[in-house]
Amino acid sequence: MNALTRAPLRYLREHRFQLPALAPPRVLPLLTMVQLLVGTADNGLLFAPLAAWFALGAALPRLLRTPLFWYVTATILGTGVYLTWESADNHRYLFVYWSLALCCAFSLPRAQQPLALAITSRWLIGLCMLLAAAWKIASPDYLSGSFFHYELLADERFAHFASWTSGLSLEQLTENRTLRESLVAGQLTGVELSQVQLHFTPTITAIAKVLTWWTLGIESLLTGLFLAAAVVRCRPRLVLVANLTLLLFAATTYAVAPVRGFGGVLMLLGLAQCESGQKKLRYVFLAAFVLMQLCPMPLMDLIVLLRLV
Amino acid sequence: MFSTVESEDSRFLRCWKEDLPVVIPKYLSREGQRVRAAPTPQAVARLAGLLAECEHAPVTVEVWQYRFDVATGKLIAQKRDEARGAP
Repeated sequence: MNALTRAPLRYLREHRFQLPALAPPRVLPLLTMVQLLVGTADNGLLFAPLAAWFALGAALPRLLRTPLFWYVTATILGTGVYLTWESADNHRYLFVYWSLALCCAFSLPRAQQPLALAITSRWLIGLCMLLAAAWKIASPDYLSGSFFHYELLADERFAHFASWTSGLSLEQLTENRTLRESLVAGQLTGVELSQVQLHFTPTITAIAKVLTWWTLGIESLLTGLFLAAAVVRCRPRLVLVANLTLLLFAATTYAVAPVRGFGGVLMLLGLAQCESGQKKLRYVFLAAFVLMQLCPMPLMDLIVLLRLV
Repeated sequence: MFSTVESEDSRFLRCWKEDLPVVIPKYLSREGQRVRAAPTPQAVARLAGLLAECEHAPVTVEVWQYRFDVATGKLIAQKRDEARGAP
């Protein structure tokens, strides 16, 4: 029997186009290197030693699966956070924890590494979401909707989304940011202000409420799902629901506001904790990770650009 | 993660030498950022002292913070702390 007598798709599946399983212990070190280099590129103090260390790792691939490699990486990242605590974004702390997780996982026998990575990743995602939700609940300006209301009016990352949903023009939103700057720095130019009036519409209030409760709701759901998946083992369906929720969170959050550092590392953690039978989901997480690297601009910016073309 | 306006982004500094505004020099910008991130009285006083040394004159550092008023759509700035440093 030759290939032509079989169903072509079946033949391709069996012989040629079988996707590799994306084994986490093999792919995560490389993807983490990409994520860390991209995520620290704006910090010379951190980037230079990290790039030098990763160059060594790229030349000696065996080093990438040793605890020493990730211990040194965590030390470099941790030192960077310590020295620049006043400006270190919160995902930089997550980078340190993730490097320590890789260090611990690679100190185990090979057969135990995938499970160790999966469980650690679930704890990391679950705890991140727990702390994020808890901080939101503890912040009165978040629960009142005032936080998102302000972000929509004055944060550049939300500008296209705010303009698209509220009817405010991009010029008005730019002017809001200029007004904020004049409040902050006006004193230097002789215009000392104590308040400024931002452009806004009543629609913004409703959108802010939706964003407020959607974000809190999905983060709380992710907390429950991932902490349950970390504690209760061998529940592929629970992990599947958790994974789909994480992807929904990424799609709804990072399409609106491009926080590539946090988004990228969440996708790596997602990939790390897929069950062995969830090969396709690993590819979805990989695709999301790649997309986040490709699109530092939010989806709304892309839509506007495509319209212009 | 997005959660509160109460962060260093909403805090800013106004520095004065008598009635004249003072620009924080580049080599002290990190000190300024630290005061915005953690505006303790000690940190504000330290920055005021460093600026006074730099300016060779007494300098006052004020920590301000803006808050967003949902009802009116206004950003309102309020002074929350200040310290005076002498050379």
